[in-house]
Amino acid sequence: MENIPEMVRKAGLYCEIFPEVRSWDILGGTISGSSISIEKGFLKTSESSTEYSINIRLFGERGKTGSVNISKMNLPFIRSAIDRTVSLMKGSLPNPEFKFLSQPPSSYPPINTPYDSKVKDVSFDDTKEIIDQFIRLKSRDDRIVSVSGGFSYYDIQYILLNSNGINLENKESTVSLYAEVIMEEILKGKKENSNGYEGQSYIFFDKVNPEEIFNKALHKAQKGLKKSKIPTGYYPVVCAPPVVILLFNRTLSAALDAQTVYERRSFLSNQLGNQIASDNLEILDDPWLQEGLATSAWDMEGTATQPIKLVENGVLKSYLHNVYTANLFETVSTGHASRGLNSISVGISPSNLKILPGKNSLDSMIESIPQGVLIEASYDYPNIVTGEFSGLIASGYLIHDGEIKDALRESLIGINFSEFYNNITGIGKKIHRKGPHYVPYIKVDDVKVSAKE
Amino acid sequence: MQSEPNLDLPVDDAYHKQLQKLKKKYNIEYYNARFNIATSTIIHINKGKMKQNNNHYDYGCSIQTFVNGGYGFASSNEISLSEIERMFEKSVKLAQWSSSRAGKKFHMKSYDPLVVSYEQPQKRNLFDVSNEDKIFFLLQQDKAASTYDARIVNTNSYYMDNVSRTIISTSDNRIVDNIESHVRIRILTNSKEETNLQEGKKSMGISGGFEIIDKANNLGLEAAEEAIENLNAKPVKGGQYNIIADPYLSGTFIHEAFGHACEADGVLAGESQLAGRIGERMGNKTINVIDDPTMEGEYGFVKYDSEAMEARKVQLIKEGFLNGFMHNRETASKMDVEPTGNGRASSFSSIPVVRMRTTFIEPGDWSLEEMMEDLKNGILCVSWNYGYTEPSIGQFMFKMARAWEVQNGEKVQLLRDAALSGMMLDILNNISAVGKEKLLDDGTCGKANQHVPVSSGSPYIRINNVVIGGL
Repeated sequence: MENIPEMVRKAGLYCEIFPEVRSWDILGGTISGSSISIEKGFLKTSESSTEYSINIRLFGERGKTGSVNISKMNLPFIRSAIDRTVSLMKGSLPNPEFKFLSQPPSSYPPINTPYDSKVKDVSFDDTKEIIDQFIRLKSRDDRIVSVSGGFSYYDIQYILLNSNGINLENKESTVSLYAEVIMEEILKGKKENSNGYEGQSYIFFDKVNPEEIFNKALHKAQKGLKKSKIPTGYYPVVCAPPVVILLFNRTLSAALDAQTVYERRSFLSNQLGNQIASDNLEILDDPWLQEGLATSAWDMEGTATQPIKLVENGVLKSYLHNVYTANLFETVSTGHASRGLNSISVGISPSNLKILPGKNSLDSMIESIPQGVLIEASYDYPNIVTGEFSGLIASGYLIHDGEIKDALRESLIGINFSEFYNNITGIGKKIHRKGPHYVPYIKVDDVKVSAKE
Repeated sequence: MQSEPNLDLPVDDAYHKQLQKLKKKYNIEYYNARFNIATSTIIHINKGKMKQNNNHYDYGCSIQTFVNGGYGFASSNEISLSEIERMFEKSVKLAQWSSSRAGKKFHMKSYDPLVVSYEQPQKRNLFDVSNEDKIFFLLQQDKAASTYDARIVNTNSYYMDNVSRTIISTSDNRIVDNIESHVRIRILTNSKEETNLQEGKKSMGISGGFEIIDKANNLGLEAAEEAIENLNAKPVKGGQYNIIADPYLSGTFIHEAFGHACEADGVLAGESQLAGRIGERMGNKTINVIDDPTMEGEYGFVKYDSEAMEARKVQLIKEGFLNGFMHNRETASKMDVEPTGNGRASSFSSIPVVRMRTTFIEPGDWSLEEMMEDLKNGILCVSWNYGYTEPSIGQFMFKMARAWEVQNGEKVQLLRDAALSGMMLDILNNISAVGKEKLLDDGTCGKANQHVPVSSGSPYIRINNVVIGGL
């Protein structure tokens, strides 16, 4: 098989022969790696895969478009697929909003995407120690009924080419480890269950810290066994990092996506320059962060990246743009084009997203609460259109007289984000990393908690 | 010269013989080789503008092997005899590594040899429909939605189809050549009145062909109507309520809250509250729950699963009692029962795991009017946005699309953005009425990060003491 960059370049040359194709881009690459799954405390499956992908977008007059995603790496097949895509494009509806693809900048910032070349050569022997620690986890507490999880490592190499002269290659490595511990105990004559989940992603294989993951998963399961209720009402809540990522980073990323804003599907449409949160909230998108999981000199359209303050002193400072939305807003791309290797559509997403530290310790935030809730996990999605959220507290604890007490049973939270962001009364001084997110604990007052009577 | 899309695979008898030879060479107990070619279309129109007009061609194969309690799995985008040999060896090495640290050892059962071809019927074959015709239909829906009312400020309309041919070849000489096709249309609308922003959503999915357009003609209008109606919706006040769930929400409820706990892989992994409880009462005697893959045309229709087993109907709850679990080859071997053909993989590059197909509650004998009258005060929950479950602790959550506040048996106020949560075993016991008429809905289930088409449904059901999250 020819190498992917070579094939992508040949595909690009082939696109050039069609006069009706005004512009084109191609993203091609390889994802190769392995994953291991753990079930009931033991190794179950080991997988190895190499996936190839070439994604071609063609644009004609008045923004007519056709695109194709191919996993069969054979040049005659790719050419034939391009032929069909030209026909698709000709039969397309126009899109006058499409103006042009990314232009190469005069220079890119001197940033290297952190990459561990060892990841592609990791053997299963190299993972023995981690797997054996996984297997030993079950014996650490008699109440454990199951340990499950996974460990995976992938090497990703890709090339991005467009008709304006963008010609970029990059390499990424990613290593992920997660564990879930399920426990059971008879308490006051009743069988209680709990689960504890913890996971982390890394760039470098040697940075994987299984002990930290396993300890946290175990500790969460242990803490979750003893449960109590809280009456339905409004309470101060302390959001742990995974919940801060959900209710701040992910919610704001989706609401600041300029396409969503343009289509008036965001509760933060027309809010640029307005106070959207308490003045102690500062959020920075930093694609230049050393060893960040989303660190890169260019985005997935080839636009140069730059650090951007999204929220400063609670004031909304910027939306997130790719080239398409920048044209809609008559501005320049902020370098937030995103695109999966197997995906045709170019979306918008942040890079390394940091909430800047505040002045509070976690202990002082908890101690200040006579009756409230510490939320450690929720798996729900906010409604970006209405700016509302109602979701299950998948893992949360009662706070009583300034102390963390039992786990909460069957409780949900309800949020109106405009009020929620303005009711921040504490931001932790310690920053916790989870993937490309860097966040503290955050305390918010007057949050609706609904519970079983 | 432009060639038409086809479903040609180079796999012939030489491949099956080669696989059997490799089985002997490595002395392994079980393998499952899958060869796939698939073509799909995605069209996205945003208020009359073309956002995406895409074809996707997928091609490749995978080999799963089983050695003494451990699995190995290798996948590739190449299909050739030499690649099969390379992948088989790799898969066996991985299985041996898994086996070295596997838990309880077990043997994988073998079944009678089978050679069969199946092509899912399409009344209007997708390969005979031009892309322009697909765009035209979607544009009509998009226009119907965007011109419905001046307060509709945005529409996003999606058409997705997929035709996939998979040849499965297993160690017990079961060879299934299976062509399946799915089509789904989804219309999203946004409405705005002053600062009030709302949305409406409608979708339809079938297994079959372009005949979907005969049923999906009103999707655009319905999605727009919903977005306009939602402008009058108020947030739900959080608390505990007696509710009536409509057939679509009840279908999601039975899929999320109960169905996942009946998947035998989770039962064996210690991740289901239902382990060891076959024969126990789960709810009152009017409750019957079925997972039925045989309903042709439904999005969750399956003829053969990804392990070359016939997909069979499973009665999960019979007259209120837990009656059975859904199985793939592994769980059937471990629990010494017949496989039910629930081993599904989302693509050739994923491992088959136990998945639902078309899951529903059988009808009872209440009319909706009787239920409303009997409810008096509570909430009528309508349709769903998403849902999930934690079978290990029996907790589930799903988000309803909207709801009505009910007072004295009458709908009085439209409500929005409500989440509904509960404990699986409590909730089934709290079903106090089951309606007469069952409706099914299409959806995508994302267990193990593998998205597969499913259907779910139910009649209207009434549930007492449900916690609703709201503002």
